[in-house]
Amino acid sequence: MTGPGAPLDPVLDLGFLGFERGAHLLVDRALRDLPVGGRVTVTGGDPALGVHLRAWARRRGHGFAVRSDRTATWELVRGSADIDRWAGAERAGGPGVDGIVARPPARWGLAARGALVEAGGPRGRFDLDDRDVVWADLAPRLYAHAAAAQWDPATAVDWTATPDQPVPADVEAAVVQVMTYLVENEQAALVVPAGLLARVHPHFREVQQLLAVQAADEARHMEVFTRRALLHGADMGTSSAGGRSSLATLLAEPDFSLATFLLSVLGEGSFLALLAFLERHAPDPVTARVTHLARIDEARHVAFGVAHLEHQGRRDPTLPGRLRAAIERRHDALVDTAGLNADVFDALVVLAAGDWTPEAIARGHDAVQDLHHAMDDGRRQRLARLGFPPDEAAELSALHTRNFM
Amino acid sequence: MTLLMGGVAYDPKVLTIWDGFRRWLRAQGLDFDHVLYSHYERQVEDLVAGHIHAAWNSPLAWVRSERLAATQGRRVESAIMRDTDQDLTSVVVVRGDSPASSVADLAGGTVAVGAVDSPQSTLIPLSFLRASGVTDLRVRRFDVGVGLHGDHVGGERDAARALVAGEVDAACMIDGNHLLFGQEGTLPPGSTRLLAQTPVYDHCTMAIVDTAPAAEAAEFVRLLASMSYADPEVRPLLDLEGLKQWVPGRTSGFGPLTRAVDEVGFYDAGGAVTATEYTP
Repeated sequence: MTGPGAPLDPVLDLGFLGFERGAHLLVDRALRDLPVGGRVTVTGGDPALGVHLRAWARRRGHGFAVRSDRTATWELVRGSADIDRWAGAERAGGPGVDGIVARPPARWGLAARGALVEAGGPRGRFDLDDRDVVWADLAPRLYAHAAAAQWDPATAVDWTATPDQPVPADVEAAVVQVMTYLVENEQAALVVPAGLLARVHPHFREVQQLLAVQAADEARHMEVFTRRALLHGADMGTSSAGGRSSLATLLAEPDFSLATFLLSVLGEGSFLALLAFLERHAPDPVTARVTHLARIDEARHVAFGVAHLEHQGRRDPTLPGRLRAAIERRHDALVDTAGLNADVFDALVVLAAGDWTPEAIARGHDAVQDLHHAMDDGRRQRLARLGFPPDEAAELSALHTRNFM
Repeated sequence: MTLLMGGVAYDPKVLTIWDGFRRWLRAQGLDFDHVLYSHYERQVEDLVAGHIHAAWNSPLAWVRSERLAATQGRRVESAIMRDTDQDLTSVVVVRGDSPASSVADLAGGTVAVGAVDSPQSTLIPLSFLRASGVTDLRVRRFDVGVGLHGDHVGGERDAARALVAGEVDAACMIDGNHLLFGQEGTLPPGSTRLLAQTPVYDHCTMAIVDTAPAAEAAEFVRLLASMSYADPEVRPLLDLEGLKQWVPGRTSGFGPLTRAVDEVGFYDAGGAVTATEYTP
């Protein structure tokens, strides 16, 4: 071993750089590659260097000695603290999608995927930590698409656009009622992914990112629907107890897959048809635009939900049974409630009618019946994609909440 | 028998540290508990009286423990220390534009120090200045956390601020705080200059009284010494307490402080508190 003062000790000349301006970086670098017990001689012209070198070395666990044979020269002996600190460190999987592990441990917590994680520290409270429960191969692509498709409510909608013909007051009231209903539903659609997002292990960051953008989508939807409701008046419409009961059952579902199924596949899936209906029957360009923009976002949410459940279904043969039970449970919970707000149903008829003649109302009513059929068709198709045979898909679709979401 | 250790709660983190150590020590099979004091004097008195078996002592508390124990026919041992408790120094700092080129040039001036009971920023550096022949010196004390024996950094920081503000001619502080104050900006880079550095001295030590249960006390020291910085369970506690490893205790580094205590009559030979203007 090299002894103190032996000529082989490397010499670090710091010039006039002091510890107040970053000298520790050079000292640290000189020590880093030495074996524990290795020595480096430090010299420099900063008047406080000896004092600071002593204090710094002590704090870092390195040995320190004054070289009495030379002026302004000190000797450091490399300690092991930094090596000890990282002795039990491990990589949190790999940075790419191929580095995802099946069950990231709680001890990785908030560490970036692929980071070298020091042992110890707080354990993360992320109970959704099973790849098969939260992952979908489509998630990274959907996130990239969602991030690119974000729109600004201030500029994506021409809020000054006027309809070709003036909107009658009671049709405007129908728009306000529908918008009030949409805001209520969007709030549920924000709270559900936001709640799940906080439980997903950050190792599955693409899923977190996607859920975060989904929540941001709903935040914009709440804004544009509220703004449309108040475009020509000061009052919102009604909120029924039955509608809120239906949404409350969505919020109560703790299981990631089942919550995704009820919200995204069935609820938002049904909303695709509703938003298309509203765009088609909108009495003014603003209503048409905001429902159009929301529908594009919702389609992405539905796609993730379906992709996630397809992914999980391939691994878990019990999934269809659990999905079925979730629908039945929700149906049972809501069987004594009113379902869709009657004001909303009437407003949809009025919007589709566009006029108050008996013929127009009949036409509007038929259109709303068609909407129900379209929603049912969509649900049955998505249930079929998840592996349900046609008759069972039809049966389950019929049990879906009358509140649509 | 429960081994009972005293510590002084100079900061809320002290509870985190000793609760963590307690949990770890108990997990290793040692029946250990701790009590926290609001100042060192009562801790020392309780140690010598046998109300506690061990005391995590400041160097000043060590000096008093040793004297008080001797007076009462007892003995205390400096059993174990942090690696960062050995070979510390304090510095005397002046402003960059100060005409002083040696401590002798401070004669007739004012020097800022920390709390009345701070070994590192008051007792030891003032003793050092006296030994250097500087007698005609006004002292401006910054009494923050009196009774904590300088564990609270506030007094030293206030002294450094007074120096930068031009209120005093020099300020005294421990070497590590000079580095800290430079890095945090309390002492702007280039604004101050080191005038002198004291010889090395030691800081805290775990004092164990001879009435402590011998086997438990030995096991306590053995377990502390076995704590490894590579152990992720204890590493955060070692970081909070400011050490990488525990090292065998010694008494050879308390000479400068013992001299300082005697010079100003901080404690008498029997360990009674005789310092003036000291009310912990």
